[in-house]
Amino acid sequence: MTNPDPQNQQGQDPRANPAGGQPGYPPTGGQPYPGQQYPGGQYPQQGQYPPGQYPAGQYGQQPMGPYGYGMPYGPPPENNLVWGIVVTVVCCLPLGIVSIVKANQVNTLWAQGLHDAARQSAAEAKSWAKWGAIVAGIGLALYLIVIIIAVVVTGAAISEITPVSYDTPV
Amino acid sequence: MTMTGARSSTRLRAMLAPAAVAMVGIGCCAVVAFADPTTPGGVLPPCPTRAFLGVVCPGCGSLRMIYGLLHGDVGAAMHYNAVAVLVLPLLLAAFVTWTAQRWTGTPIRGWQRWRWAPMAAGIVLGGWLLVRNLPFPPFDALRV
Repeated sequence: MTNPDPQNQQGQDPRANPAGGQPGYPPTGGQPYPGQQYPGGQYPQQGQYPPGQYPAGQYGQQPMGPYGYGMPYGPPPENNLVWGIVVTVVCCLPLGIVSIVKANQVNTLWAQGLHDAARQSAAEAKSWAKWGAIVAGIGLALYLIVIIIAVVVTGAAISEITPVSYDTPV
Repeated sequence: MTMTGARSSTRLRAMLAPAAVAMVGIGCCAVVAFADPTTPGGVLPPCPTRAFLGVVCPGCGSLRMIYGLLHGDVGAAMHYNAVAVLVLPLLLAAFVTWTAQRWTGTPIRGWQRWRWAPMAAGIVLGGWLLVRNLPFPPFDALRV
């Protein structure tokens, strides 16, 4: 059993057993639990990590408490939803929407126990948001160049060079 | 003693990113307050989606919304982009949990990782895009 996610290698409890030594828990890349068996899939509150552990392993943390939705592996990985929302609202709508859809997949897949697929979706959500921001940045730069050329060089108003202006009812 | 020193320097370094985000946010607010996007023909250009496609995107009116909030005019802010007014506290909350997470080194489960948060965000933003672009009353008042 090798863990496919390098993030999971960090921040692990050194006392942790390999996942193969945990009967009853499918070895789908989840965090192995050190030498304890909890009944009913619920886990008591784990000890807090000391400061300085972050950002060692967002994905490899032990569960923080008894979450619902049948998630014996603790909370789902960071789904990068905030980036998706910011990209959707501030810059590049289509790519941001894809990012939000991917963020939704993270939670759905995690609840189904498909942890590797959930991590994959989290990475894709981040990637779509990042590309959305890059595309928006390039677009904004081109837009500003057009405006600077038009307004500063030729002296036209912004409303004259764009098809729609604030004054025109759309 | 050495351990404490190493820990606090790690903590300080972890605060660099939140500090940068906060400074960018404050800088943007300062530019908006100075440039007054509510008056056409100002320094701040209109949203390119609105200007070139004639589509009012979910974020259109956000600068004017921020300008309204900076002047304490919540009504004007709601007029320019009501959904963005509602999203703003959520973004601030995410910033706070992210900063606290980096400060304490403990994972904090913010609202963005709730089970239905992405679904809700997609529905609200998609619905907002749709509703804002309906060309008849009362929805045409949402085109700002």
